[in-house]
Amino acid sequence: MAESSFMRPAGPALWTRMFQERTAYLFLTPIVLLYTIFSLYPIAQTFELSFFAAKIVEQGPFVGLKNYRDILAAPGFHQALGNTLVFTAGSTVIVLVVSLTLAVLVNISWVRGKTVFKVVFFLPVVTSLVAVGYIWKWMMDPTYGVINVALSLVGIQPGPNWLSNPHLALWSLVLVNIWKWVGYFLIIFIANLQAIDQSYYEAASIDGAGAWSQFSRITLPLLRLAVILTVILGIVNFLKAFALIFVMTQGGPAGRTELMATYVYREAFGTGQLRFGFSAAASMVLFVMIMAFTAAANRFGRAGEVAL
Amino acid sequence: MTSRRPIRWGQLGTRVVVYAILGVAALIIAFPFYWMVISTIRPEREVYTVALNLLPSKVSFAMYQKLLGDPQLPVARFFLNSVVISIGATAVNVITAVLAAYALSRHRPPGGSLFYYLIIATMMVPGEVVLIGLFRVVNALAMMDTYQGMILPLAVNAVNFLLIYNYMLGLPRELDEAARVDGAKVWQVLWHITVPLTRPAVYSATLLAFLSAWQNFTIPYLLTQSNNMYPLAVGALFAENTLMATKQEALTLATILTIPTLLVFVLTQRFVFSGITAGAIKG
Repeated sequence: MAESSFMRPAGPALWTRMFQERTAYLFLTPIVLLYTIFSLYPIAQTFELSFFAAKIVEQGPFVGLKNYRDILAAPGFHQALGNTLVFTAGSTVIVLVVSLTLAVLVNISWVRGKTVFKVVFFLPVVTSLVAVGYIWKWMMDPTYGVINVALSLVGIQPGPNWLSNPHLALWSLVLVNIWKWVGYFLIIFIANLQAIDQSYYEAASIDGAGAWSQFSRITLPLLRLAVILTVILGIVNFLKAFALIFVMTQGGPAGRTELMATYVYREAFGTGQLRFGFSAAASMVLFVMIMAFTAAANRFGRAGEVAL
Repeated sequence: MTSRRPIRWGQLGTRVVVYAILGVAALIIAFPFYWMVISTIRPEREVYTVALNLLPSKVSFAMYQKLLGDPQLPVARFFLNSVVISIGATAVNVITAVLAAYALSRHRPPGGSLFYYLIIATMMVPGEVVLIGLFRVVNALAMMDTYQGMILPLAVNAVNFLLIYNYMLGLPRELDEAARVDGAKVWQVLWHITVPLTRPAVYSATLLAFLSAWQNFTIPYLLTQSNNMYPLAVGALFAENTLMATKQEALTLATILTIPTLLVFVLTQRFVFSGITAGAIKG
């Protein structure tokens, strides 16, 4: 078995060990085939296509970097990139502040109903983005939506056009995105808070430190790594946002909520021109952004959290 | 936080403020669910009133009956598709993950780390980024518009592999070795010893795989062409975009789409939380 070769580095010849471990290779075969065919090969294909004037199944002629020059010249790409950065940065910062605050409060020793709060805050995380989109699109309806109806009761009339005002629409989506994800980061923060040794707080309170200085002097420094990890996870997750935009605004008004993932989709499938090569080049830009942040996440520990 | 203060009123004030913040936050999170369900069971004209009616004047499930009997919109079929796709993707994901995690954590085959990094590398390739490549691959395999064409891409989720792999690394090896000495085959050790010991991680991985497969919209949307193959998430969008569904119909579909995952989560929250936080504790 492998253990023996581990203890005796100069073990049997490589091919003998490989033969001994044939069952292990057999067990690895399904996952390797599955992940290669449906994840690694598609990204390789996307990369290859980004150098061709491809249309759906036809590869088309090789065009070198033309697709990349085209996306750099396309106003829609710049708009989508800018929107994606605003959406990602806005969502990440606000989600972090809100979820950390709520996690600290839920974690206070005398707070009752911790499990109930955790479960309630987590409900949107397990709700399909299509349903999330429908609920919020309905609540944000300018006339019949419950938000504007409630605003009119306190004298704000007419309420804002949440999803059709070009200056507001992207931030409305940020708001919904925060609602969807707060619970996820809250759970990660609570687990990290519970891992902090309580004796630090006991010592601090004997020294007369108040709640705020305990938070800023003990909790925050000890959560530093968790915060960094959360920021990266948030960025990676929000960069690829697709379904929410697709359901709520279709990228409108006037492209103000078009994000990278929806732009890629629309260029390939949505415009009727089926510009796969162009769209593949845009995909690669998004991929490089995600890869950079995932690599950063791996530096700060196991990136086993990019779930759901 | 836990300090004993002499002034009791101040402490009471703190408690009121803390519970108020948590209560309001919980209300903001929960209200949209309430509003969604309420909007599907009140009379349709009441949905379109510019007045704040927090309670329906009359409870009726007519919209659910109407949708389930609508010949243009096979909701029951959508539901069945969702069940088949998410259970299929969950099974493929967890079984391949368990086999690979066992092979890599219990054996050290030459080149093992290569396989490990190959699996982990897929975490950098979310489905949303490889739409074009995935479309062409599934098309070339003639799996367009089939269950396996959706199940297999949805089964790619290295996070669950990591969850099971890390758990197996923490298990003692003595039992395996004893069983091997007694002449047990490798798959017997896996099935009778390792898998039972890995149960908590396998439960968590199964739940996370199911919850994310059920929610996924992008992959089935890209890889289906006929309404008969739509899962609920895609069917709901189809109903709104193509069939011009009313708000109430759209919300009813959203409710049918939401309830299964909420139920599964509420009943199993302990395993879901431990799966999310495994490996996420930094300090």
